[in-house]
Amino acid sequence: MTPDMTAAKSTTALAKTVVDAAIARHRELDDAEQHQVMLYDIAHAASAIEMCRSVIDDGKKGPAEGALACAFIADVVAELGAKTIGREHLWGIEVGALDSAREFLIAYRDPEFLASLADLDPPSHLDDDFEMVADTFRRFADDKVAPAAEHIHRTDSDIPEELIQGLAELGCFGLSVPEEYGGFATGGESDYFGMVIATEELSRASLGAGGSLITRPEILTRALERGGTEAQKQKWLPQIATAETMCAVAVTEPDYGSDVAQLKVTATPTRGGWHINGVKTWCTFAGRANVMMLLARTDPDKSKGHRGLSLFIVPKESTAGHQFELHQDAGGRMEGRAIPTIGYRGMHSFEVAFEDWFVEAENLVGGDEGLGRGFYLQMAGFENGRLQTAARAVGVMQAAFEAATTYAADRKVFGQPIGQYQLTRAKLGRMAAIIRAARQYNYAVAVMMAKGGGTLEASMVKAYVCKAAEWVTREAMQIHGGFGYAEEYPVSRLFVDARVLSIFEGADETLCLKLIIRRLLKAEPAGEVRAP
Amino acid sequence: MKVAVCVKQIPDPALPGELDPSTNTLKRTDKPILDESDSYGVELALQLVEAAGGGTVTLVSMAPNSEVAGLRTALAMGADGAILVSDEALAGTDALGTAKVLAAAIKRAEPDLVLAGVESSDGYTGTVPEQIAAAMGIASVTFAKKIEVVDGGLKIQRQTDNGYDDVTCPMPALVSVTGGVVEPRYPSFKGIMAAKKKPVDEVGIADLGIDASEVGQGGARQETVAVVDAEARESGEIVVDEGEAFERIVQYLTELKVI
Ligand SMILES: Cc1cc2nc3c(=O)[nH]c(=O)nc-3n(C[C@H](O)[C@H](O)[C@H](O)COP(=O)(O)OP(=O)(O)OC[C@H]3O[C@@H](n4cnc5c(N)ncnc54)[C@H](O)[C@@H]3O)c2cc1C
Repeated sequence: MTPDMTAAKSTTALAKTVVDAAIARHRELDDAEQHQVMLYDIAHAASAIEMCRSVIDDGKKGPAEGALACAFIADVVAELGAKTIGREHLWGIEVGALDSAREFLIAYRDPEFLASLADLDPPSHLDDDFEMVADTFRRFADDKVAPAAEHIHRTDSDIPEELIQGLAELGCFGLSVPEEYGGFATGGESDYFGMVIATEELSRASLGAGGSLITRPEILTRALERGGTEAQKQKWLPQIATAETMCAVAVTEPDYGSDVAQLKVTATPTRGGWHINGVKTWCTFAGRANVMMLLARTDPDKSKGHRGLSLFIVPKESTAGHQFELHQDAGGRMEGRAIPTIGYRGMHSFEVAFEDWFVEAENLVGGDEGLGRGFYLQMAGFENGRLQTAARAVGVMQAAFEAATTYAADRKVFGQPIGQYQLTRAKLGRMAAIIRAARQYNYAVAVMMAKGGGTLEASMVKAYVCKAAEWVTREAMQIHGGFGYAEEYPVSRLFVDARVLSIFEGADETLCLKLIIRRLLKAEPAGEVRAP
Repeated sequence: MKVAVCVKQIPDPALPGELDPSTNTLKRTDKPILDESDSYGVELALQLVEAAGGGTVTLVSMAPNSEVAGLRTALAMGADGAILVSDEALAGTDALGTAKVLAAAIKRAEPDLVLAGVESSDGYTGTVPEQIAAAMGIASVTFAKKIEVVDGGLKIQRQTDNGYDDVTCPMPALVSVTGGVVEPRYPSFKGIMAAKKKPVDEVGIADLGIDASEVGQGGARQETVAVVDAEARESGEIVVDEGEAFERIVQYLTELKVI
């Protein structure tokens, strides 16, 4: 069957009218924010449909690409059907609004069709350079990261320094740093491609000890680019690019995570700089890091909310292990303790207490002009972080898919390899379609971001893909049966690792309700989310 | 210091290969990769040039269809440029013919040192490096595990069955490098992006002053007359342990003269 990409396009357009109708309806409501269930669903549906739109281009590149694209679109539309049924009045649509998609769904939700996707392996269509980037990072990930991954996970040990050094030599931490500051971003359309590709390949070997090493440098780089003074860029960006400076991001606090505007940690002016006081939590890599990107309240007037926050680069000594206690001559103290976690191990996520920790004035990001702009700068940083996190999710999904495929081919149940049963094959087929679509959309968002846009789309891809990674790793584990639950099999690690993706870098719900839907409700119909 | 490194671009061994039944040679259709055996030479060359405080590493490769995919990997690792010999007349060239062609190409780079792998991973004749040295009229050292430049000459550890020999030799020379003696670097992101811009000098046999009759199927003095399947491995002996299995194992190892 030759995939019908024309029908794919019209089906996507139809699904988009449903989402547009819901957005239009909620735009009219005075109490829109109260309708959280709807808003959350709309945000996810809108994200999935944006992915459909981008996967159509890929689907035109060949029959296998087309088959996977059609399967993905059919899946998204079916899920949209499930979201809308019985709630048509809330979506602002007629009952049966999706009916004309039925033919398409009959063809591309067909179980046999889905099962036939399990073995498809279409080419990446990357150009030669990025193909080599992918090959190189895959090789490094297989040779160096994968062999360390299980040990790190099982013993919650530190990231080996050779790994960081090796990645630094590959240029992994300077991928988004502009050339003039010692990195490799040239200002062109493909600036974020290297980061997305490297992240995926490293995360395929390990989320905690691979792809996530790139996250923090990406966030700090973007924040500095957006709001750092020239001197700060000159000083920090080259060090980030070479991994001479590893960083941690200290935003979340025990009382405030999603609600960043309420943060309590304070920075108070003192001679020559600032004193940091309070407690941050979930600060990943805080031990090993040489600096923290820290968001603190510089304006004591709490009513200023997020406008009272500023961003600092906080140097510290790099330490090993699960806890640290650092002292400054003038009496400053910083104490960190790693929070034991079910997955995402290696970098360790710390609760960090600050007591009169001194930071020089020159480390206020943006200098005096940065006062009160911290919230925006960290948000800018997280834009990169979100695309990067979506790429991490694709790497984890790819690893799960490969593990499931291999296991299913070997394991015989009731006299047959489980990989030959329709149910298994259809699961693998759906995984393949989701992974392909996610990867393609990552590439598309990377291009948008390089052109200065893509903020909304980075949130969308993060929301959809991170949630999808849970299903993919869950089914990959399920295909392993009992062994999937054994620590001995890496798929058990993939499952627990995947779980964090929807929590950090913006909890899924926060991302949907505070970012995606707000942007969608604000945008004019022909604005941010373009018609197909 | 100028180092030339012979690199072969071979079909990816991870993909199922196929022989052309009419010539008994490997079909070369897919995008080739850098032969891993040659990546060690590339790494050593880069290290030698770094240690010398400057110089160039030039890759020399003979490949059909102007193939550069494998060269790109080595250029991305840091080599400065390449000479690629690609000519339809070269199809079916044997080891000696290959050596003559490579020797002529290498001369264009005027190297102080020529490095090559001991043998390629797809052909395995293991004769090309020495034939190149003979064709060029320069010294040749085989099975190197370590190479240093000392007082304008080379000091080489040459691997033997029992350890290694210390060998010295004047330059220019050709040295074949044993696989696995160094860890070839991964291409860096910067290196990959720079690779495309590096010069690849593509030449045909006429440019090298070689006559078509000396090379190709016609010029070959060596012919693969038959290809036979490797003998299937015999099934091993299963020793069931009923308390005395160790005796059988000791006996077995004694027969093998390993203990
Ligand atoms: C392994 C790990 C590593 C981390 N690394 C870092 C790091 O390096 N630096 C850093 O600063 N932070 C880090 N975090 C923190 C992470 O960003 C926060 O956990 C996240 O922002 C959520 O904040 P919270 O945990 O305080 O959850 P809360 O804000 O308490 O939210 C709890 C839940 O409530 C729901 N929710 C939130 N808002 C709404 C709403 N408006 N309506 C309805 N439901 C809502 C969501 O489901 C959310 O998951 C990390 C977290 C983890 C688990």
